[in-house]
Order: sequence, then C-alpha cells, then structure tokens
Amino acid sequence: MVRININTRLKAVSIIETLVAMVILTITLGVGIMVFMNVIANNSVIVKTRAKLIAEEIAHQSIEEERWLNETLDIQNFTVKKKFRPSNNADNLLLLQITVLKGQEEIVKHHQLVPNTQNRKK
Amino acid sequence: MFRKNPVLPARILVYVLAISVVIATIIGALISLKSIRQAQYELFSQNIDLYNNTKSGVELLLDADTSALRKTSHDLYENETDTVTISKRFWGVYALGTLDVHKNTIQGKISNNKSMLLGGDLLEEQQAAIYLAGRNNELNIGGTTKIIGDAYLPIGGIKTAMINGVNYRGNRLIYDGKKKQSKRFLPPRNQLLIDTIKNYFKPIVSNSNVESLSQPNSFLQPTKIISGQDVYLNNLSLKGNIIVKADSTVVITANNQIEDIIVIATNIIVESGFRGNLQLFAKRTITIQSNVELNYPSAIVLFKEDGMQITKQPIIEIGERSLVEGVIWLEELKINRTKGIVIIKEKALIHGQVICNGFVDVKGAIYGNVSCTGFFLKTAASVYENHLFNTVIDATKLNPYFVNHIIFDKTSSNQIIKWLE
Repeated sequence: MVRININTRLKAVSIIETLVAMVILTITLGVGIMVFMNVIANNSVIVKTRAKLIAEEIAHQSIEEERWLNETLDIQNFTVKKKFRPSNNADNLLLLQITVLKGQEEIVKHHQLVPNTQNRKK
Repeated sequence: MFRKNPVLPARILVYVLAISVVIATIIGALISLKSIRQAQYELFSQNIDLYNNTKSGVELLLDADTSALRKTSHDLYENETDTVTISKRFWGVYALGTLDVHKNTIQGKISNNKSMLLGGDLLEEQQAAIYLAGRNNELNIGGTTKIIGDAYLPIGGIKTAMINGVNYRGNRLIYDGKKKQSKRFLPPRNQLLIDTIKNYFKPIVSNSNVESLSQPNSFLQPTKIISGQDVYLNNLSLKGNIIVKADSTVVITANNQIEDIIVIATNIIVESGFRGNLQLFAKRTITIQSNVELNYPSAIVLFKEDGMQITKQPIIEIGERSLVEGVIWLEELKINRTKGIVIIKEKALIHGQVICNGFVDVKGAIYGNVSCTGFFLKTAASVYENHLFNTVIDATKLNPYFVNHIIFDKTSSNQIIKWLE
C-alpha cells in the first residue's frame, strides 16, 4: 500500500510566474523589434550622405565643365535642382545653389561661390 | 509515484530576465550605432561645408582687388550662417592673402583659416624674351648668343656684331619669335608696392628673440622681426612670417634653413652654397655668391629711392653656377650718372624675370624674360653698351606654371603661388 504524505509541497511553475515571464518577454521583444526595424528601415543618414555626395559631384562637374545653367536633374532616385545667380559679394563670382530632394522632401543643400569665367574672359 | 522530496525546475522567470538583458544590450548597441552614424554624418557634412566655404573664401580672395589691401568680412551665401573674413597685403613683391572662415552649426561655431602667397598672369611684354626700352638704340648680338621668343626692341632693332673678334654664330637673330616695337620706358610699376617697399627701409623699433624663431611663424600671427646694425645669419632655421632687418649689412651663410622670409638691409650678401627661398630687399648692393640656389618664389630687389645720397653704383650680382627662381628687380626712381646694374655671371641661371631700369650684364642664362633700359657688356678688352655675347635668353623655357609677381601695375593677384603655414 502506498502512503502519500499530504504535507509534501510540489515546487512547480505557477501560473503567475508564467504570466509575468510572458509579459516581460513580450515587452522586451516588442521594443527590440521596434528599435531594430527603426535602425534598419530608417536609413536617413545613408540617404543624406548619398545626397550630399551627389550635390558635391554635381558642383564639381559644373565648375569643371563651366556649365552655368539652371537645371533639374534626376539622379539615383533623387531630384537635383541646380541654380546660379550673381553673388552680392563680388561682381566676378556666381553663387551656386544645389538642392537635393527625395520626393518632395529636401534632403541637403549645397552652396558655393564660383568664378564667373565669362566675366573674367571679358 | 512521488519521491520523498520531489523538486521540479521552476526558474522560467530567471531565464526570461536573462534573455531580456541580452535583448536590452542589443537594443542599446543599435541605438548607439544609430547615434554614432548620425554624429559621423554631422562631422562629414560640417567638414564638407567648411571645405566649400574655404573654397568660396579663396575665390573671394582671388577676386579682391590688391589695391584695396584691407580686411573685409562677407556673408558668403547671404544666409548669416556662413561668413568669411579676408585680407590681402603685400609680402615682398607678392600678395599675401589670409582668410578666416566660420560656420554656425547646432553644436556651435566651427572655423578654418588659411594663408597663401598670390601672384598673377604674365603681361604680354613679360611673355617675350627681351623688353629693351629706349628710343633709337639697337641691340647687338655676338658669339653663341641665342634669343628664343619675342623681342621688344627700340627702333634700332637687332644686329649682329663682332665682339672680342668673334662674330655671331647663329643663323637667325631671333628664334621662335618676332621683333616687336618697345616703348621708351619699361611698363609702369605698381606705385602701391613701391610705397610699401619704401616703408621697409624705415626704422623699426620692435625686435623678437632669436630663440623664439626656431619654430615657423605662421602668417596668421603678427610678423616677427630681427633687427640690428649688422645681422649675421648663421646656423638658423627661419621659416614663415619673419622679417630680418639691418641698417647696414646682412650676411646669410650656407648652413641656414630659410623659407618665405623677407630680408631688408643696405647691403646683403648670400654666401656660397646657400639653398633656400626668400626675398631680399637692399638699397646699395646684393651679392649672391657662387653655387647659391634661391628657389621659387624668391625675389632679389634693389631699390634706390630718389632721396638717397648714394654715390656708388647700385649692383645686384649673381655668382657663377647660381640659380635664382623668381624675380630680380633693380629700381631707381631717379636715374643718376651711375646707373644701377644687374650682373649675371657665367653659368648662372635665372628662371623667371629680370626687371631693371638700369643695365643688365648677362653672361649666364635667363629662362624667362629680361626687361631693362640697356645691356652692358664688359670684356677683357673693352666695354660695350647694348651688346649680348655668348648668352641665352629663352622665353620658351619658362615653367608654364610660373605665377607672376605683382611688380607691374596691370598685374592682378588672382593665382595661388603657394599655401603658407
């Protein structure tokens, strides 16, 4: 005949402990996934860096080719608006303004004074 | 069946907490990564903007009129965040430009400064091999003399001559160039520069400690001055914004390391074997001994004011096998009986310009241009005026990257000769 000691306490996982653990795990994983997605998905720094480099490249090309034209270009999913106007600082200088947009959002702006070679040649 | 003391593992909370800590650490790392990338971008962006502002400042500086010679501030792009302060002044026969660029950012103000030596384009007359000013005089050439490039000459033109019993050996009078008509006087010199050089010879009271000059003195700092009755420069390292001034004589020995400085005295002697880059300004004589190498952009200037009571002939002498890269300028505001003379000895080479409103005695070679009011030739047998013998004046061998000094009135200062510290 088997005797059972009714005073013996079984150490087991209580329902409360399980619930607390689940809540903690859910919150932790939730926040983790949110942050991870935010870091991965929100690549604004990469976009800004690319936009900055494109603006630099366009400025360099314009000066190299002496291409003093107001124009809008589509480069690598960006819209690049290039403008020239006489600088108020000096007669022989032009103010080059390059705005890089993604959709309607302005990403970066580039300013530079460049020699107005047409004036100098005169 | 139950054991006597049965124990079931029930540490789920501990495991969950451990996993949470790991996840929190990863989240922290990701957030840090994002902020580091953001900071990196800001730094990258600011550096590019500052670089562009510096380039814009340089353009403003090159465009600025040398005659203005003052400090001006500009709002670069009319947005009040990017500003530049530029200044232009003479440093010897070249222009010295400095710029101080500022940019306002969210983190604060960032700045950059630069200084540079400036010059200009060669005038049309300077692109020729010879500019001999005068009315009716003629140029006579003999021996192995070779003039390559255009020659601006008075009405008398160019002729061959027998000098020391030797005839002209060339088959053409002028190679790769034409004879053009010169004017009675040399092209006008820059009056503002002449006034500045006059001021160089005025007494200076300040004096810097020689030991403090062992480090290069930046052109963004005030000029340091060494002065005395006679100055003997020996075993020194002088670089940058430094003026050496003596009432009487300055002697520069071969074992100095000198770059960019100005030397002012009544007489200057550069001893044999010296190598460096400097500008010399004297009132009476400048002697460059043999085997001296004055690298570009150097200047040798002898400047005789009209008020000076100097009876001796002002002389610039370039010793045998010496090299001068830059400009030699002898200027007499009032011509006396004894005209000044530039003597270029055998095997000496001038790479650049010789400007002299006196005589030039060329026995060496000039790669560039000589502009003068007369040539002088002294041989064992005789002396000749406006004669060239066994010499080479070649305008085509002037380095295409040679940037002109600003001695002549029309010369702008829109080209960078070198960046300075």
